Amino acid sequence: MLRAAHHVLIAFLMLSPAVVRADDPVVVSTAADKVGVTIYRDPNRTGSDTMNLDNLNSFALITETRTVDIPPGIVTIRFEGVASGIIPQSAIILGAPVSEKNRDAALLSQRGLLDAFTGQRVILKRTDPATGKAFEESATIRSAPDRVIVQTVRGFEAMYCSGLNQTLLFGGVPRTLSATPVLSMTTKLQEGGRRTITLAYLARNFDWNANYIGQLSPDATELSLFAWLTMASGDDTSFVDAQAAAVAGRVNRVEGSQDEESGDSPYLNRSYGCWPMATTSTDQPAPPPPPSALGGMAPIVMEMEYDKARASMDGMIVVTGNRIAVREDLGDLKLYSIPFPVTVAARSQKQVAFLSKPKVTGKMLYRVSMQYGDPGDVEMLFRFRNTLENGVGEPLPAGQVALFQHAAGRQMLVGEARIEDKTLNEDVDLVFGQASNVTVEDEEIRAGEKWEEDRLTVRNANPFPIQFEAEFQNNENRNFGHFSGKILKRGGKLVWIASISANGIGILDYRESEIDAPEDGEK
Amino acid sequence: MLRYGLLAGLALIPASALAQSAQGDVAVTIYNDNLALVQDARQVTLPIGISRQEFPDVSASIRPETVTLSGDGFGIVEQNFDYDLLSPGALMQKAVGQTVTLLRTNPATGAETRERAKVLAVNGGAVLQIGERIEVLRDDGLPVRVIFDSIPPNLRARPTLSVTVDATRSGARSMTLSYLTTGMGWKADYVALFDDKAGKIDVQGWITLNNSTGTTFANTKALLVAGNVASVQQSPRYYSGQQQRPQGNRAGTETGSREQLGDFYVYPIDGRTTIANAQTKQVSFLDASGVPARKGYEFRNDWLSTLGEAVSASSILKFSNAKAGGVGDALPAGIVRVYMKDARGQAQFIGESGIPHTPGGSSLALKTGDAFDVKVQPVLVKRSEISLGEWQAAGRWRITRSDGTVWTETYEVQKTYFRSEMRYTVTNAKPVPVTVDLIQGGLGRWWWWHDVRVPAESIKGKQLNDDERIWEVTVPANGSVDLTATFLTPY
Repeated sequence: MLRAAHHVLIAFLMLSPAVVRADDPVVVSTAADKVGVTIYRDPNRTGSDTMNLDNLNSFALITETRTVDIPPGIVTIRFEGVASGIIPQSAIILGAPVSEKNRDAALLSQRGLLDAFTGQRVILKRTDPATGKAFEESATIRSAPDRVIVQTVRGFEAMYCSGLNQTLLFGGVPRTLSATPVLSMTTKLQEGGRRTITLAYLARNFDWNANYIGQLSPDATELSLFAWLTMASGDDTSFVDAQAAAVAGRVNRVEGSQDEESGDSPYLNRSYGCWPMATTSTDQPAPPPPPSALGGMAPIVMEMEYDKARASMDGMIVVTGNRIAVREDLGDLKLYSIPFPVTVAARSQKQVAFLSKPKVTGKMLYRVSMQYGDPGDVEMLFRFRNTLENGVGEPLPAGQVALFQHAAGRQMLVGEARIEDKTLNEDVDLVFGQASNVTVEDEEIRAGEKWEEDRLTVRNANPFPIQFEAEFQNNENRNFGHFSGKILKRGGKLVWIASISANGIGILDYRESEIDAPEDGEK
Repeated sequence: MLRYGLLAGLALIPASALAQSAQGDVAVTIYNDNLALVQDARQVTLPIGISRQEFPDVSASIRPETVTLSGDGFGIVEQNFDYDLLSPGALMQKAVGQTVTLLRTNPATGAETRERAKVLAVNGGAVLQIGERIEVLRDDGLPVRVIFDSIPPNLRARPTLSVTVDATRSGARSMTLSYLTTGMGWKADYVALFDDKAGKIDVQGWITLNNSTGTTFANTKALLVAGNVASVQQSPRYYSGQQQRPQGNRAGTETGSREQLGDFYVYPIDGRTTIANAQTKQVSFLDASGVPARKGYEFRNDWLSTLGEAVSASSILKFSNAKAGGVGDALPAGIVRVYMKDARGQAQFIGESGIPHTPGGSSLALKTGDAFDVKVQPVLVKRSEISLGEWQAAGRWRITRSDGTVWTETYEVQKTYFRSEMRYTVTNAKPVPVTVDLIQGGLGRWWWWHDVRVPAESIKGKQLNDDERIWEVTVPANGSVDLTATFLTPY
């Protein structure tokens, strides 16, 4: 049924309130033949933020191909099985002459029924609590849904205020109400026949993340870098055998682009406006809390495209080439397409490999930032330049990096780092922890009116030599100069690079001048 | 076909069987900001003399003070808008002093007893007089049905408009009811498909209108007005907080092809359409293809801002809505969503941007997102105080404003001046050269601070205004360019 060419039903019933004229036929397209899901990363999430599976803040572009057989004339086509998070005003429809697109959110609910039947005859059913016998009588709804008053042969009464077990029975479903918000289109005058319609729209409640796994070589000069593209869908609709892709980079979103939640709440406060219903000492029962918009909140299912992935001897994941997402430039963004069909299931997370660089050369170093005059924490980091020569040369989308290393005969977690969007030829600093065996001390040795000279002492308690960097950053209030050691300029910073021997000490003297001090022959 | 069975099995009630709308021939003029004018021509048969006419099925969000009724052969005596809505509480309140019927059901036996009760007061609970006893309704928690003999005439299911008219002749005639209502508004949504290689975009414009009035308007003639109509009921427009628009937006002077209503453009919807309650409706109004477009990059730096890492420049899409070489029409305010085709030919979303009402002939520059491969790192290299002597020497570089006037300094006011040396490193990892519009802002942040000089810059810049200076930095493929600039500022 799913793959059949006709997912279509022609019902010459008036199903949709969107029909322009009473005799316009309605065609229902129940499912897509082919679907593409492109997930965008939350533009406001930085590299250090992980996804919140319960509240996915980003969106996806869903592209569906649907086949419909339509009669000639002006036809309304209803699209069913679209993503529940659809942003209807973003919908693009190709393949049929569109005169209008509609999204109807008048829902089939108790409120919706009462509203539609206001002024109409319904059946009032009352059950005797003692005998269980039901009585039915004809009644007319005389009020709006929130304050139900019915008229029976005896007179007028407030239906939900009597304390009796009674309910209203309706004669049918008004065609203006639907189970879920419905997207439909009305064609222009056309000659009919089979049409292939492409429906593309944005849907909220999706997100993706890059999750890197790095294996450091024992001497920490090489990194084997592997990355999962972790896609998550919080939508209620599953997309079977989809062409899935993810877009890296930041896209601009506009506030107000999201769908306004139009329409009344489907929940009805039945006792609203009643006189006290029980004893004077008890309150009216509170209306039941509205269930979560996601319904039963099924747990998100985690899934990895693992069938071709296996753990190698040293614990690293190996994914064969045809299972790795393919990258291409999409304007100024990066598009990662998964080269095989995958099912983006409702409320699930899926992982597909997108990068595998087994031999990335870089170096381990210790760093301290002197931006505000005082040394910050001593950070440990692995640095590599993102070039082909170094074994990478690939754009690296923002995400988290877990670094592992073999030590003491077993696999150890070295630390976790974050990465922002890094393109080619950029330095990538994976800051994975704070040093405990390398310490810095900063003391004043001389001072003038608006300057002071400090001594930075670095102590290495490790039994191995380390590479150490102190970064000085001039800012609007202070300049640094008079360094006693060799200084390099890198990315706007003045960097002191020192090799400190095992259990050794490194010393740097420098001068810090306040800006409004007289210039004094800086080096 | 399981589904067919399901549908066929359901009794679907056509709208006509349900509440038949009392609306007549309806025309709706919808403004951008949650405001619509409804004109409803109804056929009414009037008796001669004074009579009261009810107009149900007006918008539930009607602004009753704006109602006018026009037609031949009658005068209006008074106009009432009844919004005292029928509810259990209101019904009981109105029954004070009157007699109602109580039907009590014995929970054990189900036996019904019936008595008449007089409603004495409704203060919290309903105080009833039954015979000689006084009782508070349902204080014992037992079920009681209260049956009212009638509904007071001014309690209604929905807000209803009534007009008392004095007719000079009897008979059927057309009466046109017009009023303003909130709960209906529209905006434009644009789909732009950008072809980078060809340097062209296809633009489709859709009107998205939204009805949350609580009322369906069937078979209406709809007209949309683009522009911001002042409305007394709405709070003053606040600054939308939108991000600063990129460089390259310039309002045009071309008149659009649309019908105009004073200063506003008017977009009629062809034929008649039903605007259902809780409906979002989209109708096409613009379709332009092959419009020349190009991509640009922009980076804006705050005053003295230094970044530890390079950050991406914004990707800007530039095109025009002029008749020649552009979209060729005025563009009502809305959101432009930009798509590009991927290697498989599938359109992918690359970002969106809001636009204000844009007259014809305007240049547009829309930020679609950040460029992954084009980055800028601004660095404050050095900041220092300069002497007055150096200041005078620097006078040569004073800025001539766009109107040709040259700013002259008054030395007495300012005593200290600062030199800030900035370096902006622009990198490009794309295999093609790019040009980045680099903007330094914050140069004239306060009124006394309008004496900024730029004695040295590695690329000739242009002062956009007192506050901003712009450089066009061209970066070779897979290359990098350093722009350095020195600013002299009084602070």
